[in-house]
Amino acid sequence: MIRATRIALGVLALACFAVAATVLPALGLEGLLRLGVWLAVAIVLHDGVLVPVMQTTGALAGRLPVPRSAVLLVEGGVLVGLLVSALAIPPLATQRNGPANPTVVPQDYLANLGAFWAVDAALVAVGLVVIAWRMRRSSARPSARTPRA
Amino acid sequence: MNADQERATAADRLGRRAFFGLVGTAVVTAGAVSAGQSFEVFSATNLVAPRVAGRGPQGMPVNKTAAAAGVLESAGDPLWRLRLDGPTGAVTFSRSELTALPQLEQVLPIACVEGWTTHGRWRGVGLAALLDAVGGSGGHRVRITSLESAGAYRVTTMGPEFATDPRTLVALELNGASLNLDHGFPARIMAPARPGVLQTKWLARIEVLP
Repeated sequence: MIRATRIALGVLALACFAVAATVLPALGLEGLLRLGVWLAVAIVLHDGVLVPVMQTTGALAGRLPVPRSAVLLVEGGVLVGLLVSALAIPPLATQRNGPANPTVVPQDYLANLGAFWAVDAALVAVGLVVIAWRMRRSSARPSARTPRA
Repeated sequence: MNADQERATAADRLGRRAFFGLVGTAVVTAGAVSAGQSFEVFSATNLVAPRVAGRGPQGMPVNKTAAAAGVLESAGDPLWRLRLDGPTGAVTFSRSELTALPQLEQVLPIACVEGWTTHGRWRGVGLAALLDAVGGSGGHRVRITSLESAGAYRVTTMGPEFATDPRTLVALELNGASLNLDHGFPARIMAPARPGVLQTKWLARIEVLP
């Protein structure tokens, strides 16, 4: 099953390459260069920002005497927050450069990002409370079963 | 550390279920905060998309304004006429002549290649009826020219599958009011399933091609 899935994904990837080969020349030299820059920035963002921040978060949270699920939850919250922040970079840059008309990039993206991080942090906090509550319950259970003297 | 140990450490750190859960959450979240510019169901969570559905004159975003296209004078000229050329000759229509013709209403989207889509309620004259007036309703291609003096989409060609479609309009109104100048006043093309850049604004001329 896994082997068949891998082969199917490989064939799909080759089909995508074939479509790209027919479409990409239409971009022209300038378009191809811009596409190259876009892809390079994606790699820089991943390797230069996302990975170091995630590793630092994991290392710091890993030092604490907390279960693995709590560390993963915090890492997940940071990862999702970073991804949404990356999505906000292009509209923020466009606002800085002056949009073509008032219907382009009309949102307060910094305020939206702040609100998103707040909700993200709140959800992680709720998750941590649930993890702590479950731990307390599972550690309390054996003593509850002990018959009273 | 050998390869097996490395794999074991990675698996220990992040199990497959947690990995897929994390990637899934990230993908769904990224979609939810950016898809609102195209899908109304996500409009409440549109936090980072470059467009907001319904934000713009007459509830429709604008790509190129009349000022940017350099048509402020020509589009606002009371002497504006839409010229049609076909096998039986040429006919011109003023805007009031167009509004006096039978009007059709269609809900059609501006689907911009930039990635945003907004539906509008468009009202105007069926293109097929206008082509009929110059003997061009026999399934020809048409060339559409805008008042713009320059620009990649000043002149576009429309295939007969669009030109004869009963939903294709020479639109004069959007969402219950006369077209805003930035939406193509005095008249624009609105056809179903065409990219936004081909929905020619500030119409000047429509020619039936041989």
